[in-house]
Amino acid sequence: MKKLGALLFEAIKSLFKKPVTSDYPKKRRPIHDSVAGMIAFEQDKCIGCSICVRNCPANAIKITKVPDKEKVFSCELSLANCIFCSQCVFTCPKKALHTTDKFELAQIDKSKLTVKLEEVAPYKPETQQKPDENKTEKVNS
Amino acid sequence: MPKKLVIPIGPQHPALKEPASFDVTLQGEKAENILVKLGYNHRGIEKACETKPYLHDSYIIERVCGICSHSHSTCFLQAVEEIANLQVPMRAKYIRSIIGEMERIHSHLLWLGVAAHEIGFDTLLMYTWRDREIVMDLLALLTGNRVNYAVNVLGGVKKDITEEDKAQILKAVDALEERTKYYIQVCQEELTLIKRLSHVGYLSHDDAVKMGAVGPTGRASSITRDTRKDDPYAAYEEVDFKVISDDHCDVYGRALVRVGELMETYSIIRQLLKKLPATPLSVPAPRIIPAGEALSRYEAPRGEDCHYVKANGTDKPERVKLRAPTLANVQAVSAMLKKGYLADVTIVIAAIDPCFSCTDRMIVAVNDGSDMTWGQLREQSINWYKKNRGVDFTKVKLKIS
Ligand code: SF4
Ligand code: SF4
Repeated sequence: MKKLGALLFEAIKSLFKKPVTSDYPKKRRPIHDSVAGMIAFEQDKCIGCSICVRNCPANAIKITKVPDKEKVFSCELSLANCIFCSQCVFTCPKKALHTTDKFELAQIDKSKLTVKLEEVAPYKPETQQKPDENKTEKVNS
Repeated sequence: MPKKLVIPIGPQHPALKEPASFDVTLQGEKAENILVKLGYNHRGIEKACETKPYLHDSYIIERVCGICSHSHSTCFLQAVEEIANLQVPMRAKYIRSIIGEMERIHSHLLWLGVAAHEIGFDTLLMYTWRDREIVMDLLALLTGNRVNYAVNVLGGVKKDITEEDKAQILKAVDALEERTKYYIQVCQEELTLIKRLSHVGYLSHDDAVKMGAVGPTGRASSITRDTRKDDPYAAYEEVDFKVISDDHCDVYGRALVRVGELMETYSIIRQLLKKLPATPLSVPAPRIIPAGEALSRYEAPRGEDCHYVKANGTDKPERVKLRAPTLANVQAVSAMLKKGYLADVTIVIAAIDPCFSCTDRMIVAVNDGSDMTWGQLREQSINWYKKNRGVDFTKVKLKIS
């Protein structure tokens, strides 16, 4: 049956529903653990093969040898370049890289966008699924 | 004879989400002639692909379009996999199809909202976009990203679908199906929608065939063509679905085709999930791809997407060429708008679900800086063909104004 105002009933019903949008950043919607955010790094596992560097499509990741230490490597990530594609995580032969659900990574100071992963995002399996709010500096606070 | 009024719509216009330009010549309130001008959003992606290895190219190609990103990356990788003769495992093909169908849901719901917005029916825009969040969340759950999912790799996929994911997908699909049924009902009942969209942007079946319209635009002019059926790729051979078409030939028909397709999409996802085979997710892919060429076709939400890849035996392609669905459909816009009202221009353009960044082309005229007339250009081409190909075109009559 063709009529006017077919959406009217739905519109009136919606008036009595809670808003769908959340009051971000005061309130946060829960996000999935699988969100591809910041990369975390397990320094003990890395063998310095640089496959991640070669496969990164955005030139975002760098592996360097830590001076004076035998077989210890440091991983530098440029958050400005990284497109969060998880290609490095997928191809790391030693599973030394992981994705985390940290996604609030904006910075006012550009230099803070290049981070040493073993310092800011060491991989700890038990704490990994919680976004670490102290570590990422919030833009508006 | 009074001078004709030409109204430029675009390149910057509130109704256009991307820059494109349409010059509408008016006769009173009615459009007499439309000149479509593309090229404001050219990003040189094809050329960029030639300078990077295949693995990186799949990520560049994914960024051709923010909405059908998976379509482009799958289409490109299918071509490369064919050249390299890689046997993609069945599970990967299923997952590619499932993500592809989810992309169709989010694209069609987005379109319904945009179309409603263009006719001033913003209530429908709000509701469709609210419900679209269900599928966006699902994509975030499965792939980690809301757009540019990055699930594809050469030789398969990166992300798996677990048993828990399956349950969540089925629950979300049920919710979406219920909402879509409601939207179908709205489309069939709501008088404002029917009156505003019927007989607007008319494209006859013959015109649609002549202009090469693809996807929902073609199917709304009763072209029952769908790459998923005609040339099944990924896992579409294993599922049963109908190709939705309509004979309204107008914007209303295009809306009906899209909502109808959504219902088929839900059924496809359920069938795929039920049959999801237990194979590995990917096969190891070489960095160097042997010389060869391949053309791959994919039914993107907006229509058939074609990617041509030529490999020269190195780790970088020699040529990548893509034909996004909008390029096939944009030709038909001028036919749709002929004799239509100026006020219909925006909804008619929106009805093909244009994506100009996918489509934009550029022609570079290489000369010594001096302008050439058409006559000079013709003379130069005649001489070129005489010298290089041994063909004489002097006798071909051509009227150049
Ligand atoms: S691929 Fe893995 S093991 Fe190799 S350098 Fe990168 S993080 Fe280290
Ligand atoms: S997630 Fe992608 S872009 Fe970011 S460092 Fe890894 S490979 Fe590079």
